[in-house]
Amino acid sequence: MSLLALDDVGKNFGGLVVVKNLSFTVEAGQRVALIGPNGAGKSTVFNLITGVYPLTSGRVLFDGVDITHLPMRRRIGLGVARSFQNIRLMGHLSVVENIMLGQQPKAGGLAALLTPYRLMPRHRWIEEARAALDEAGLGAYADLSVDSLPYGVRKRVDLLRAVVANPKMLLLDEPAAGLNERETEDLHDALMAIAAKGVTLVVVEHDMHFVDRLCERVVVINFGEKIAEGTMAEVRASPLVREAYLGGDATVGAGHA
Amino acid sequence: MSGYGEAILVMLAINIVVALAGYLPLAAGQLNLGIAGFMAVGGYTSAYLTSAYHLPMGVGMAAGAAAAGLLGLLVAVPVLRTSGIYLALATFALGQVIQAAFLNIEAVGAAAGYPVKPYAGFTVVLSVAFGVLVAVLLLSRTRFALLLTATKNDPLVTELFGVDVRAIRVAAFSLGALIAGIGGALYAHHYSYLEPQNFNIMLSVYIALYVLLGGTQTVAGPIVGAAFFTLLPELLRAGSHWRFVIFAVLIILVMAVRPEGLITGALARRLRFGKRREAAS
Repeated sequence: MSLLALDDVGKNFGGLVVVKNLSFTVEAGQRVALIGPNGAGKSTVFNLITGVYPLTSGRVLFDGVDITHLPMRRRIGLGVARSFQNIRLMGHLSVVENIMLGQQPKAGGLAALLTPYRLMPRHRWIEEARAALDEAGLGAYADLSVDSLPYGVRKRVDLLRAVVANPKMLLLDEPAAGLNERETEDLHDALMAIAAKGVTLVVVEHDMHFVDRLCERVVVINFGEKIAEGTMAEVRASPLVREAYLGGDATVGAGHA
Repeated sequence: MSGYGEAILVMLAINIVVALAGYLPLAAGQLNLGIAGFMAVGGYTSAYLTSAYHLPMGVGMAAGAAAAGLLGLLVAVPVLRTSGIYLALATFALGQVIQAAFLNIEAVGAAAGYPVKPYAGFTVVLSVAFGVLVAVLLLSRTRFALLLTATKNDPLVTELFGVDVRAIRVAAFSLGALIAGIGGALYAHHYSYLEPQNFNIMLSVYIALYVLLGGTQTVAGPIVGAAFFTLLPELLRAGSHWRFVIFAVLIILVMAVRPEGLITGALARRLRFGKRREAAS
């Protein structure tokens, strides 16, 4: 059984069809990329999987459970976590407190909510958050405001916050965007380490070299429809994919092929 | 202590309590412009129970707080469906409705006002206010406070991390209403007389200003804001009529220079860091 299955998913915003008859599956432990030209509907697919938008039609199954109508706050408990294209950290909280938000799925209940942990020396929440930061090499930033951090560091904190939630599947929206070569290399290593722990990765990314090295399988969408699926080499060979990326001018596509 | 000093301290204590009442919803990003209404519910409930049923003042105050909190809970569900300027308007209207209701309730004197017994002196007011402050400080050290800030920052992401953002908002709003009820009960029993006019919209606006000017990110914010608004007019007394002009100009200046309030989270962190470094050296 697949970990994630989209079954004939559709999404309209008013009269605008953004996702159409989309079906694909992701097996547990796989590293899958979701690629496509700008505006193809990739981020919308993430928003449908995480419940930010309701589906217009179709179903989403995760780990054998139909989560189509599950409120979004319940999905992280099942193991679906995500990072954001435009880094959405909490500007009024410190780095370590942002990481603590990632612990929330494990810290439910009224007692946990009302424990004055900040008065307790070495409370395990703070210690665990600091340990996670140290392990990621971000320990030096723990007590700083996230707004004061450089872009690359904020991006890593955003990823770590999702990892701390112990997801089964991590949805990463353009994790390499805006990173320099060195940071992209570090990100690759970090994601391989996360995958090695059994976490399934689904990545939306424009950096094809990065995708090629990280992902075993690629799903290509254009105008909200799946146009190809397979290994990077397989989808590269698809005429539909070439047309989507290079436009209707087939001679240009042929010339570069 | 002089009578004047005591009077100022009592005013400060009550203002800090109601500032904390406004702070809790604002910490989650919700402006309650009807705090005066919840104060009225707390004050009148306590006054009525102690006068008509001769209940002890402590019981009256607790009942007043509970009544205000319960009303907060009841209205939070529909009112918090709105947000931003609409939420402010809805709470504003709610405050007006409550004030108008007390203008018409004969059992508590209606427009003529309602004498209140027993009297809550300096020690009682300051003790209760101190208790409220300690409770809110404790709450600010919990995960609940973390989630309030997260909710204000980015409700969608907070929800995605498994938080029932709506429940957090309702809880903050209702707790704020409960604390406003305590403030209203203190006011009633200290000044010994209640009139619906005491709980007008200007009071609600002032309370919102205490918090916005002091800062919504730490508990110190509303305390500093309440102190600023209570003590500064007294200090400016020498300037007679001009004191209100000077006061208004000062408010505008503060908001221009520190739009996030006098006390921000970043400032609090810097102060804490300073202490830690001193301790380490």
